[in-house]
Parts: sequence; structure tokens; C-alpha cells
Amino acid sequence: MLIFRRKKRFFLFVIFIQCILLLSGCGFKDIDNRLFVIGVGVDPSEKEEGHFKVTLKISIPVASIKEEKKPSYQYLVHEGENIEEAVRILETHTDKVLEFGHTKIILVNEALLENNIKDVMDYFVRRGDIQLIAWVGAAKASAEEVLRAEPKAEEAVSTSLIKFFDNTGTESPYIVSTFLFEFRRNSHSLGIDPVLPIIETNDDGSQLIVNKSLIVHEGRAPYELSSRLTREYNSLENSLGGYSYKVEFEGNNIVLNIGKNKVKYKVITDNQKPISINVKLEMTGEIIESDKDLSLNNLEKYNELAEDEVKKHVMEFLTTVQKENLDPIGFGLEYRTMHLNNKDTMSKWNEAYLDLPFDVKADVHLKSTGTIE
Amino acid sequence: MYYLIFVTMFANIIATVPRILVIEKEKGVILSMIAAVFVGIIFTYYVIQLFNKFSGQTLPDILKSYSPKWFYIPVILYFAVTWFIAGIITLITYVFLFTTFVSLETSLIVTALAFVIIISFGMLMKSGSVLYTLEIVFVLLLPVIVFLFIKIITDENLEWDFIQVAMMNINTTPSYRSFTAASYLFIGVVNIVIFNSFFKEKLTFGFKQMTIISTVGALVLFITYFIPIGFNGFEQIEHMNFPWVSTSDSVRMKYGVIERVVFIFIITFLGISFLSLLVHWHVSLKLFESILHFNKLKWKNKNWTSYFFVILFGVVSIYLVSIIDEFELFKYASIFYNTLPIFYFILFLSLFVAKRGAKV
Repeated sequence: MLIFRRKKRFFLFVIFIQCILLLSGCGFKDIDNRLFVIGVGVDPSEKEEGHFKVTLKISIPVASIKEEKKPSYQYLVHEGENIEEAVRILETHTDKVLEFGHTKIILVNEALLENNIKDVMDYFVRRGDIQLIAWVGAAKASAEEVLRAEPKAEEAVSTSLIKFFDNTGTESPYIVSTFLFEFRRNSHSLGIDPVLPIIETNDDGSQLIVNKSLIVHEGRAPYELSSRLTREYNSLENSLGGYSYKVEFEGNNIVLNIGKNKVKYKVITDNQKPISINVKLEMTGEIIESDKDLSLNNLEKYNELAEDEVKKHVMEFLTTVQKENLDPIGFGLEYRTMHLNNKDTMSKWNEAYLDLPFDVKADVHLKSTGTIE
Repeated sequence: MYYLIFVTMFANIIATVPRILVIEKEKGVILSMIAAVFVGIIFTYYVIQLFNKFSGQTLPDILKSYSPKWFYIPVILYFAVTWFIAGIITLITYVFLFTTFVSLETSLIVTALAFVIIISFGMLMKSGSVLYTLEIVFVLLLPVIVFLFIKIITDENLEWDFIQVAMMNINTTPSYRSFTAASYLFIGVVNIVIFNSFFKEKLTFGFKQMTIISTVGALVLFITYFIPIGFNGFEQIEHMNFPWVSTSDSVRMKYGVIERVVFIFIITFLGISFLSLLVHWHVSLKLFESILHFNKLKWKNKNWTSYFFVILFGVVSIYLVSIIDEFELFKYASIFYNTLPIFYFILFLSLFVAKRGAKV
């Protein structure tokens, strides 16, 4: 009896093991059947009005990093009525599944930013597998060209386009980086306007250049910030250092390098009405270039000169965007945090913003004159 | 005891509660949350006090000995069904979430089946083993959860201005819907109806315990509601189906092994929702068993009633997963939360009846 029972158990066990062989998996595709899309570009269609041209940059896996000298990419381009349609057609251009989980950059043609931001962004946010920490950039000329650029310094397993933004490679105050979630948040919110970096490429596609930016506002042509204004924006919003100012002192041209930067801003109100905006900057830096010998005794003097210079630059940035009725720093948002929410909070702000005076205070502290006096 | 309460608190983050809160963002959610903390803590206190009078007995035991049959059968049936629904909301939400973010090609039913099979084993465990499982898994996951929260809160892209804007809506009167959703966090204590048999000694629930539970509860509520707003802005947060998953997707670990925090988040909360599901359905199973015992289902000297219920649970949940969509899920979940006050009322009523019967 006991033997019989054991046999039965053994028999059940064998059946169970055999069942495992019949399992076909959970509908999961293996990694060798997937293609990793690392960048998506959206352009307006060349043929038809209102259609989009979608470019996918696909990274081809390499067997060994040492053997590969250059990274290899495949590009898929198709035009469609909407992004989904184009992507679906592109899936038929390859034998593998397109995997969007590694998409790190989304490029949108400058021309689409005026009216179609929501259409374009909706698709990327709605798809759960696309990271919300992908970077968004505005492509100048066309997104396809920028995606196709393959800089000379690119290595086999890293994509230059991404390294611009992730702060592991270059860190520069001229580069604005905006995540997808950040862009979506700021473009939907009242009292702040999103800023996107402009990515350009040179004629033969061997270089990528990122040093300008765009302030995007739904329904309006985006306003382009020059390199210098981009730098001011970054120093104000992200407290980024690493840039220089030129001051003149007794016929001597001195270039100051700002290392650290601390920014505080406050909207001053009187009886619920905004009356001015206070911006306070605290910077530390050093002298990087000078025509003549410098004396450490004069550091105080240089500080003062630098403060004036900083003030001038910051004021220039603030008044330029104010004139355009844009608010990339989010002063309006700051104002909203100070008042109990009711319907006219925002309209009060919008009325007042255009002629609000700025009060900029800069506090520059130079630490040294470098390795020589 | 703490585990029961805390698991429910954390599990709500993955459930529908944050969604309801952000939808009610302009209708007095803040005051509702504050009210929910107070009501929740008072509720916890009284439930524990009442059960202390019947140390070592489960609710069915108590009701069977001290109240008439026509009273206790519907009451226990109602509790069992409520618990089953609470479990199924967690299950379906998680299945949807899993297919949206992790495994897009897998069908809903396969995912749900995987959950149900594992949970079924858990449900059939002894109540004691369930408590131990709960304790071990929760203790293992807690550091990860704390790490995730710290990582998310200290992220530089979290814009506190939006949180302040959200706070500026404090001047609105509280709404019923957000109140019930927020008070759902504190419902974990009700699991005592079955697990009370393990608390042979009287539970002390003094000032210290109350402070701990209310602090943790308030903190979890704060995180649940405000952090998604800080990441996604105030204006359109209500359009997000899974505010918390999107939030964790917005955080990046630059030098982490996995760059996207969302995967760690989903896996961790997989554990937490498993626990919450396990506890809910185990309690539900025990309640069903206590009133419905089929003598006919006897085979080989063993009664198969509990197996019958487990299979029934599985079949019902798979069926629901296949027919329901996200919108309906949300609708039914909020209706369920809205009926919770009735649930509290019946619980207290039955306990008072029992207390009078027992004359203690």
C-alpha cells in the first residue's frame, strides 16, 4: 500500500515536470528579438500638412566593446498622420520588436513647438514604457538631421546626444536639460514656462552643438534665448556655475570665473498685489585672466565691479523675458504659493507681471587670483 | 499589530487612494486628510479597546457566543465580502499597473493568474504563518521603501512651489469622497477580527502607540498626496492614472545599477500589495469559513470547504480582471471607499451587541 502511494506521488511529480515543458512563457520576447530605440525625433511632414515625420535612432548591440571602434546605429524614418501610425509602420520595417524602454532623448522640431506641443507630448507620456526621465530637446533645422549626426568623439557604447544632458560628461551652464516630466509639468502649469535646449548640428553631421534654448509657450512662436541669455537662465534657475564675466578696472581687462552660485528670489507683495521681485545672488569665484598684474589688496574692489557686472547681465535677462511676457523662472508660481487659491489669483498676476520692477542684489566673493598674482 | 496597520498604509500608495485625492485637489482634500488622521486614530483606539475585552477570540467566535444567529450571519457575510472586495481592488489595480509599465505584451489574465495562484497558497496557510510572512516580508522591504522615499523627496527636480500651491487650497471645505479615501489608510486595524486569536494578552494602546501610528499615518498621507504634485505639477495631475508610478518614473539614479527608479518601486510595492492582498483575502476566507461550512464537501476525511472558497476567489477575480476597465475600476473603487463609514458603523454595532451579551 505504501509503495503504491509512493508510486502515485512520483507519477504526479513526473506529470508536473512535463507540464513545465508545455509552458510557452508569458508572452515575453527575448532580448535578441528586440531593438533598442534610443532616440525619437518628430518633424513636420514634408508632403502633407498636419502630418508628422518620425525618426527613430536605434542602437545596434555590439558583441564586444573592444572590437568596435564606432557605434553602429540604424535609422528608421516614416511619415504618418500621427506618431502612433508612423511608429506602427516602422515596426514593419524591421524584423524585431521596437523596445522604447531605453529611449533617452526626444527631439521635437522647432516648428512644432508653437501649436503641436500637446499632440507630440501626449503620445510619449501616455506610453508607459517610455521613461519620464527622457530628455526633451528642440531640434534646429530638423530632428532627423540631429539624430543622424554621429560625432567623431563618439564611443561604441555611449551616445553623445545623451551625454550632453546627463551631467556625467560635460557640465556647462550653456546647456539646459529638461526631462520629459518636467517639460510636461511646466507646460501645463500656470505661472511658469518650460525651457528646452536647442540642439543643432553642423553641415556634415560630425558635430552636435547645444548652447541655446527656447522658451515655449503654447499658442505662440517659441522665444529663442541666445547663448548668453541661456547662461543667465541656467545660473538663475539651476544655480549652475562655471562661466565668466569680463570687468574693466583702471584700464585693465579682467575675466572672472564664477564657480559657485546661490540664488534666492522672492515676490514682494503689498495687499495681495505683487509690487516687485527681489532676486538675490551669492557667487564665489576667481580671476582667470588679466592684462596686467593684480594685487590681492584690490580683491574688494574687484568684487564690487563684478557685482555691478553680474547685476547688469541678470537684469538684461529678466527684462528681456518680461518684455516677451514669458516667465521661465516661475515667479508667477512663487506668487501663487503665497496666496490662498481663488479664481483671480492668476489674472491678478498676469496683469501685474509686465510692469513689475526687478530688484537684483548680487554678492560676489572672489576667492583668489589663480596661480599667479 | 503594527505590521497589519502599516502594510495597509503603504499598500494604499499603489491603490486608487492617491488618484482620488488628486482628483479632489480643489475640493478640500487637505482638511479631509487632517480629519481622516484624527478619525482614523480614534477608530483604531476603540477597535483595539473593544477587542481587548475578548482577548484571544476572533470576531466570529465572539459573535457566535454572544449574539443571535439572525444577527451574526449577515454581519459576518458583509465583512467577508467587504474584505474580498478590498483585496480585489488591490489585485486589479496592480495587474493593470504591471501590464502598463513593466510587461506590455503579457495579457491581463496571465498576470492575474500568476498573482492568484501564489496568493491561494498564502490564503490556505495557518493564520499564524500569515502573520509571520507579513512580518518577515515587511521587515525586509521597509528599508527599501524608506530609501525610495528619501530618494524621491530629496530629488532636485521636486518642485516644492507646486506643493505650496496645493497647500494654498486649504480654504475649501472638506469633501466626503476624499475623506473616506484618506481614512482607508487606517483600516488595517480591522484585520484584528481574525488575528485577535493571537493576541492572548491585552494589547496596550496608550499615548505612545497612538503617537506612532498617527505620525506614520500623517506622514504617509502627506507623501501620498503632495509628492506626486511636486513632480507633476498642480494643474493636470488628475489626468494621471497612476500618479505614484509616474512620480517614481520621474526620479533618476544617475549612478545606480538601475537608472530608472520606477522598476525598484514597482517590485517593492509588488511585495507590499501582495502582503495586503494576502491579509485581506485570508481574513475574508476565515470569515466565510466560519459561517459556511459545507459538510457535503468531504472527501477522504478532509473537508474541502476552504479550497472551494479559494478557487471561487480565483475564478471571480480572473473574471473581473477580464471584464473591467480602468475607468470602471476607479469608479467602483471610489464607491467602495464611500461605503466604508457603514462598515465602521456595523463593526462597532456588532461589537457593542456582543459586549452587552457578554456583560463585560
